[in-house]
Formats: sequence, C-alpha cells, structure tokens
Amino acid sequence: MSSPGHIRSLKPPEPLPAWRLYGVLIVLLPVWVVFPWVAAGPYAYLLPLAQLCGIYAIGATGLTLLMGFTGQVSLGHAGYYAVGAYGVAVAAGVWHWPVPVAIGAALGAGGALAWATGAAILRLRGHYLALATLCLGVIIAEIINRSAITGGAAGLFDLPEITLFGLARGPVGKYYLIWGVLWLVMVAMVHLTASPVGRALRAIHHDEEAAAAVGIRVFEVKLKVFIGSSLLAGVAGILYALVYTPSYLGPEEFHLMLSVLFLTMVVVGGMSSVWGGVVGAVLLTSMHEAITLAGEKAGLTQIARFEQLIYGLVLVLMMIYCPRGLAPSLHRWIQRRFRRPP
Amino acid sequence: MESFWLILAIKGVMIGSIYALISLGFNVIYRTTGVLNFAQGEFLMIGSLAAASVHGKGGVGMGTALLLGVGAAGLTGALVDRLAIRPVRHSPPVVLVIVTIGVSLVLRAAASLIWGTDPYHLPPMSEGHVTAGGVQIEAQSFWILGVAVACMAGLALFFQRTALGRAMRACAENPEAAGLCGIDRGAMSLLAFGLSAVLAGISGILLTPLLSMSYDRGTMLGLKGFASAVLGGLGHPVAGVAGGLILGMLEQFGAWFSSAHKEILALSVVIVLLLCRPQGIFAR
Repeated sequence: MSSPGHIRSLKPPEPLPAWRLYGVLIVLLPVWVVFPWVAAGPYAYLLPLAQLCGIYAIGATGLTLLMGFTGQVSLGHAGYYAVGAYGVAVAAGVWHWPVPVAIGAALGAGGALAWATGAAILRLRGHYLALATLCLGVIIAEIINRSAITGGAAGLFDLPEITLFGLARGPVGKYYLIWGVLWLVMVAMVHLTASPVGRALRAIHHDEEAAAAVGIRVFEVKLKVFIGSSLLAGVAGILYALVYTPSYLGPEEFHLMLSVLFLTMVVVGGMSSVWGGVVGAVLLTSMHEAITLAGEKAGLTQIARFEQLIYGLVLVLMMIYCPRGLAPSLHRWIQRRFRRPP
Repeated sequence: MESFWLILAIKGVMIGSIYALISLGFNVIYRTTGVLNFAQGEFLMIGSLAAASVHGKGGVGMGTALLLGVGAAGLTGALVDRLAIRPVRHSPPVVLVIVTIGVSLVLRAAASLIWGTDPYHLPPMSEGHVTAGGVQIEAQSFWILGVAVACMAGLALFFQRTALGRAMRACAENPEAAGLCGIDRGAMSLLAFGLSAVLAGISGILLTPLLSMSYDRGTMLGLKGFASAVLGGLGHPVAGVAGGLILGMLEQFGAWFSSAHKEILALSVVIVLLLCRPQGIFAR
C-alpha cells in the first residue's frame, strides 16, 4: 500500500523502563532550579516567557495524553483551558470566593463539563470527533465572548493573585510555582504511561476493537483520559488567570487559534512522546517571543501575520519531514551521540 | 408576520446554498483523496479577495475580475496539492488533517500580507430587487441560487458522464484498483484540489456582495461548509447540499431567536445531529 519510506501510522513506541523516563526529569531538575539566575539583568524578560512556556506545556501535555497516547484528536482544547481560566476568575474575582474554593470550583466545573461533553462526543471517531471538538471549542469561546458574567469582549479586571502564602510573589516565585505544577504533572505522566493504564491507552490507539477484545473498557478509559486531559488544560487556564496575568482576563486569548496552537505544540514536540507537549510548548512560545522581538527591532508592524505564516509552514514541513516530532528525534540523537555502539 | 418568516426562509436558502457549494468542494476532495481539507474556507477567501481587489483597485471589468478570482482560487488549490498534500499522501488521517490546518494558516497569513486586513466589497452582479408575495428579494439572491444549481448540475454531469469524472470516482471507490487500471492518482488529486478550490472561489465571489470579505472570514465559512458536509454524510455530495440548506435555515431562524447566539445555536445543533446520526442525516 505505501512505500517503505513513508510512515504508515504514528503509533506510540514501546513503553520504556521507568528509570529511563525518570532520567529526563532528574537531568532537567537542576536546569529548572538554576534558570532564574541565568534569566537576570538584561535577560530578565526570559522569566515571564518561561512562565508562559510552563502554562502552555501543561495544556499541551494534556493534549499529548489524549492525542498521542489514546489517538483521539481534539480541536477544542482551548475551550477547557478557557473554562479553567474563567471559572476561577469569575468565582474569585466576581463572586469573591476564597481562592482555594474558587480553584476547586473551576476544576469541578471543567471536569463536569468534560465528563458531560466527553460522554457524548467520544462515541464519535476520527473526522467526526475532530468536527465535534472543533464545534465545542468555538461554542465555548462564543459563550465567553457574549456572556455578561465573563465581562464579554471587555474581559474581567482586578482578579486576585495566587501567591502561595506570599511565597510565589514576583516573576521568580511565579516561575517556580508554574514549573513546579508542571513537574508534578510530568511525574504523573511518566507514572501513568509506564503503568498498565498507559498500555491500555496505547492498545486503544492501535486498535479499539482489539483493545475491547482483551478486556479493556474502551469507552470508559477514553472518557477518563478525556476528563484528565481537559483538567490539565483547566489547570493551565487557572495558572494563566491567577498567576500569569492576575489583574486582567480577556476573551482574545481563548480563540480557535489557541486550540490550533496546542495541536501544533503537540505535533512539533512529538505526539507519541511523554515530553512532546513540553518540547513543543517551549519551542513555539520561544519562537513567538523571538519573532516579536525581531519584529520590534526591525520596526515591522505586520509581524503577527508573519508569525502565522511561519507557524503554518512549520506545521506543514514538520508533517512532511519529521512527522514523529522533535522529542523522539532528539532522543535518538542523544542516544547515538552518547552511547557506545554495542 | 408571514412575510417575515418568508424573508428568513429566503435568507436561509441563500446562505444555505453557499454552504452547500462549500460542502460540495469538501466532498470533491474527500471522495477523491480521502483528505478532509480544513483550508477550504481559505480557498473561498482567496477567490473573493482576488476578484474584489482587481475589480475595486485595478478597475478591471466585473466579468474579468470574477474569472481572475476563480482562477486564483483554482491555482491556489493546485499548488496546495503539489506542495503540501502530495508529499504526505500515504500518511494517516491525523497527519493529513494537521497539514491542511497548517496550509490554512499559511494562506490566511499570506492573504493578510497581500490584501491587508480591511474588508473588501464587490458590487452585486445585478442591481435591484424583485417583489414577490409582499417580500423584496435582492437580485443577487437569484444569482446565488442560479449559480449554485448550475454548479451542482455541472458537477453531477461531470462525475456521471465524463471519463475524467469517472476516473475520479474510481479513485474514491478503490484507490489501488484505480491505480492498477492506469488512472494517475496524483493527477486526480491535483484535479480534485483545483476543482474544489474553483467551487470555493465561486461561492466566495457570490457571497461577497452580501457580506464583504476579509482575510479571516474564510475560516468560519469553511467550518460551516465542513459541518454541512458532515451533517449530510461525508462522501455524499447531494446529502451535503441538503446539509448546507439545513444549516443555513438553522442559522437564520436561530438569528430570529437571538441574533447574538446564532452561531452557538447552529453549532450546538450540529453536535446534536452528529451524535444522533453520526453517519449523516440522509445515510441509510
């Protein structure tokens, strides 16, 4: 059917032993801790950038779990991200609930919405699922843009800030908080994907009928993953609303483009790798910053449109030349570079 | 009051015929290549902007401008097939979906760099209106309906009666067997993308006098066309046309219900219909 040069499917690789997955976490831990000392003085602008990278990485990792491991495409992930952000913003900023209660409420609302919508649309497959999630994302964005409670197109002002009892104040503290959450998420991801549950997810990705035949409750597992993935997007949204931009939240962030951006991150990073979402989020968010800075230096006013052009080209070229994404390629390169041949 | 409902129905049919044309384009590509083209709305936008800009700024006559617009869209479609789709033709669906999303980003950004972000207008193909049953119907409505019907009939004839059309259908039925029979699948894919982009360009040009067009308007229209195709049942062009009409009506009557929430209503109904009849409303 297809020539050997073409990949026939993007199935996840065989599970790695857990110590090797933890290896990446252990190697990267010092980088995470030391980073604020690097990003000082003239490089201070790197800290807010790193915060945003962390937030997107959490959202993209949620999508990796759903798309890369379970094989269910979602084009509406920005919707659940927005529910997290607006849930907490409305509860804490408009109704003046205590922040921990507001966070719980936002996660509860996001989870309930994911459960309700997932239970309905996860029966669909392939293109149909893509269309249904796309519609959901647009509906959520439209509702936020037009409701009175969310401030409509004007947005919400004077939101409270999460400071972890005053510890996470200032750019450095916020950076540690966001990446700390990301670290917990990654530990959970590593555990999950190396566990029997992870194998069940891969089985569903390979072949739903076969997975059902060996006793996996396909629908139940898919629904759980969908809820988990949406909750991760919700967590990213909460961090965005209360940590990254605590004073203001507007609807322009949560458009269809953000769902596409999450998808791009997962694809560029590598759908079938635990680290794909993180690699993609860091790379694309940095690329955005680099393009904006270069545009300011060159005095280009239309820089945002060039950026879209570059995003699109990256997506197409990645799919043509490196459809497995960067994280697996990076992994292979490191293996070749630092391992002696047997 | 009756005339009010009539106006809504007429508007629904107008918008619905546009959606139907876009869904036809979707189906032409999907049936021939198995690709779901998320860049369909961008083909529409390019056709419309190309025509409007040469007519408005270049001062080219209306007929020439329309031909140029449709040609620009068709050329874009063919280029997209050659440069982006051909290299990944044997990949799984998720890769193809992502490639077309990437293409749509590139086209939208390129259009905004070429034509700017301001909306463009086209004059209606003929001025004036017809009064029937106490309702004024703009002449443009008849153009939309007429051209849409002509396109559908032409396409049906092409697929049923011509060797080329049959070859494209063969590719859809069984790609391997079609290849064995000596049908050049690459050429068929090129033709499908070109033809589909031409259809999208035509629908864009028909729509511009009613709605005005800018670089970012295509996406939502493409989504509506996609929804129409899926509503009717992917791969069934006639059912897709019906899906388009249903969606157009839904939206207009939704707008009567609450004009701010018409998109939400229409898309919610799309999801509900998908869940009730995932194989399409008219599939047996």
